[in-house]
Amino acid sequence: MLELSSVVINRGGRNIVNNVSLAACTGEFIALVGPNGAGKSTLISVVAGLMKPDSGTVTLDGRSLGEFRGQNLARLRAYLPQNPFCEWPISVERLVALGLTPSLPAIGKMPEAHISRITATIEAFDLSDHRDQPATTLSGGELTRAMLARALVGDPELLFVDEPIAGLDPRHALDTIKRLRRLAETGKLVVASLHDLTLATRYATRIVAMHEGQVIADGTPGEILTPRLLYELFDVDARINGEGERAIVDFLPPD
Amino acid sequence: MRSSFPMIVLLLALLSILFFLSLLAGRVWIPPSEVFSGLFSGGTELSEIIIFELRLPRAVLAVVIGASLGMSGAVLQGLTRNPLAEPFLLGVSAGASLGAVIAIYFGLAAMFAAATPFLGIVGAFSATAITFALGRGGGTLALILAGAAVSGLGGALIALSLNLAPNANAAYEIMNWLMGSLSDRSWDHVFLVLPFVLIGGAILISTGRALDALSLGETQAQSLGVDLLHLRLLVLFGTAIAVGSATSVAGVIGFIGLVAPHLIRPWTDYQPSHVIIPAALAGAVLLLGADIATRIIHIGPELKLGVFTSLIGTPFFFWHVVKLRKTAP
Amino acid sequence: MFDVWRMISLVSGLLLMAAPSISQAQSPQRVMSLNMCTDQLILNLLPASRITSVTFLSHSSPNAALSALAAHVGINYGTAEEVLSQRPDLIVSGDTSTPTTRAILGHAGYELHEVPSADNFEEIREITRKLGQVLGEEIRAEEMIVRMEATLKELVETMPQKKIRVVAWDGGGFVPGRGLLFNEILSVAGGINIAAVDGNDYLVDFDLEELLQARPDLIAYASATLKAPALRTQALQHRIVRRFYEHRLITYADNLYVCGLPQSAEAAKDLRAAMAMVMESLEVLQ
Repeated sequence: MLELSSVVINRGGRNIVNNVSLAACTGEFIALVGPNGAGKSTLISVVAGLMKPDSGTVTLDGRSLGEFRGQNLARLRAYLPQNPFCEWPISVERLVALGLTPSLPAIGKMPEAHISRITATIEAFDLSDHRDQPATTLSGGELTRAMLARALVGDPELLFVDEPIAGLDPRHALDTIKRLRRLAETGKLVVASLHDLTLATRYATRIVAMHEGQVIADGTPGEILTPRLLYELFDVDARINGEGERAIVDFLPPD
Repeated sequence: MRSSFPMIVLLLALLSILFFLSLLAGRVWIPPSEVFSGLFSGGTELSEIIIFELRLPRAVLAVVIGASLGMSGAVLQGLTRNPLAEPFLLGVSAGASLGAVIAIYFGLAAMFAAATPFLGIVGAFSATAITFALGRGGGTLALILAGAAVSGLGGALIALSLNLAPNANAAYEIMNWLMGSLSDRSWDHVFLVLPFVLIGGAILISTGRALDALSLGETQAQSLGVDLLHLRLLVLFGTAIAVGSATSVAGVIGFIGLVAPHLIRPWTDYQPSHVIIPAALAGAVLLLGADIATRIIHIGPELKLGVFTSLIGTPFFFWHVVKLRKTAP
Repeated sequence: MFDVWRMISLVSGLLLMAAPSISQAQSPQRVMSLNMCTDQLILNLLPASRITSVTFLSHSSPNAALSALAAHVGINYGTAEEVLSQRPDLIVSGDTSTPTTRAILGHAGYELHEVPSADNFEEIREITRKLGQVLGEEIRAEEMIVRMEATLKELVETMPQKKIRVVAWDGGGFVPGRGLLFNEILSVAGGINIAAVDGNDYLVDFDLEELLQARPDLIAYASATLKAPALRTQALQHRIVRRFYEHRLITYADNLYVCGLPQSAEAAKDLRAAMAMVMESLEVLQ
């Protein structure tokens, strides 16, 4: 159970996150939506324990995130920033293996158990054909899958992803979001910031809408996603057709 | 590691050959058979003395110093994710030289021998810290410029120290020394430098895991439990200790730290932690080879080791800059 | 007629007597030296009252005799401002001034006398004589030369049978070879400079391997090396040097070897004494 209480973040003299309170538990797939500059990336960093709030608290099962040792927290939660990249042309297998860094013994080779875990994860993300390929030569979709694989190889309870489908074509975007939904269904907490409202509506179990540093709506897509909310967030007229997995969110040009 | 095993064997073989060649190179010709008997000391024969007291420590120094330069180059490139990072270009050598100059010319080295490596380490540490601080977040250009600025500052302070030094010959002497050399060294120098290089080397090797995680960028590495500040301090200390002490004994030797990792990286799996030890071996091979070359090439006065490595390394550096310009935005 | 001749001889005599005082009035009264070697020469040839300044190098020289002499005269750092403010009527320096400097001094109306470096006793004789002439102190110059010749003669007559093999090694990488004053002084003192072989002219680079192979009897190093810490002092701590040459080291006052002066003959005498002392103590040790 992850709880944020009155979190405030200021950077460079400006307020980025303003008094946000939130509670989330495993099994949820939360889509964080809002316009550029609303504070989504910052909120995700805070929630992932990578940034300390200027005031307010973030607790996991009652314990403040700041109290966790770096490695223990690393085992519990995984984080992916926007546009993750790999600096060196290491193989996909090695890339995925990096996700096990917090569990590696101080010296010595990787344990057998880890090796089979890596293989299983590579298969689960359909990367077996690319196993030995240098990560820097992967296509956009393949790299996203590889990064997700590295995030999940350690089997964390929590997954925080900032804009996971940026730059992906429709097929890969759909594929990624479906995976995230399945992960939530297997009992993880997944929080992702998204710009694609259609996919958010269809697959997220909960939507948190942020505007100018504040949460202005929080609930299931059916409950809170209305053209009015969308207009408030994005200053654009919107139309929502269908529901559930058939829902479509259209944005309309001004007359 | 599987793919690098044959490469390591090759490097070790190369190192052994060069090591032996190093014992043969020198102004006094000693036939190979006498080289062998000289290796096991105790002798009073001229050849035995030359081999054991002069050439053997010189070869050992080349290996130790070359390894420390290669290793620190690999780690610096891993930390900064910058292919042009190396101790010389980042101003580490300049800082170390300043420390050594102060030790020598203000009488500290005369008081206790370890003053020179100590001050070399202090100088290297300060210089590296300043370069890191100045070059943060600015990419390749900022880092190299910061290194150039720190080198410039180091040079200016060396000039000032020489100006103020009690000895009028200081300026001439140090010009020679700054050009880097391993000639006329002894076992005393080896014992002075070895403990520091071992300690520095151990620290540098320990950063391997964290450097691997850093391949994914700072935020992902942080999310994997890497303490970035702790990592930077380890790299800072490891480099300062290994390179600072090496420079204090041999003078300024550049470009080994740049070239060694680049040469062996294609033969590894590119993971930073798997590059460190091969880079150390490659550095040792390069420096030993360079040192032999300076003794074989006769162009008049003795060719200085640091000058030689610069002559070989600078074109490599230029080539890299050109390559970067093509790929950069 | 007899009276006229007497008159003429009287007048000529008077004129001749006056001549020295006339030439004295013409000889320089405010001499400035811009070079350490010429410093020493003029300090030995002129009274302090006729010297405006010598360089700071002589004032702070490790050689006590030299700095004591220099203390009585002014100081300069070789700058143009000092030349202007001290207004010498003669400037003495080495022969390494740039043509520009010479031209400027010439245009400004300053007299410049350049003393070339002297690499052997013949040249020392020449430069001392010449300088004596220019300064109007021929007599004194001649006295110094005579003393030098006497010392040299003595040294030649008492030349020891066995020549001692020496190298001037300071670990700085360069040793004096042929063609330098050091060589000359060493020969007169009864030594052989092992670095002075064919092809080794002036300063030669020499490393420990060559040193070991050549096996000199003694290693000489400049006494200035001891005074202020330097890389060279470290070189003398080298294992090899300590092991084989610990009792075979002699020092020499390098200002007399770098500059060709009449006193360099004395330096040869001192060197011979030092070498003899060390060789004797070695025999005792054995």
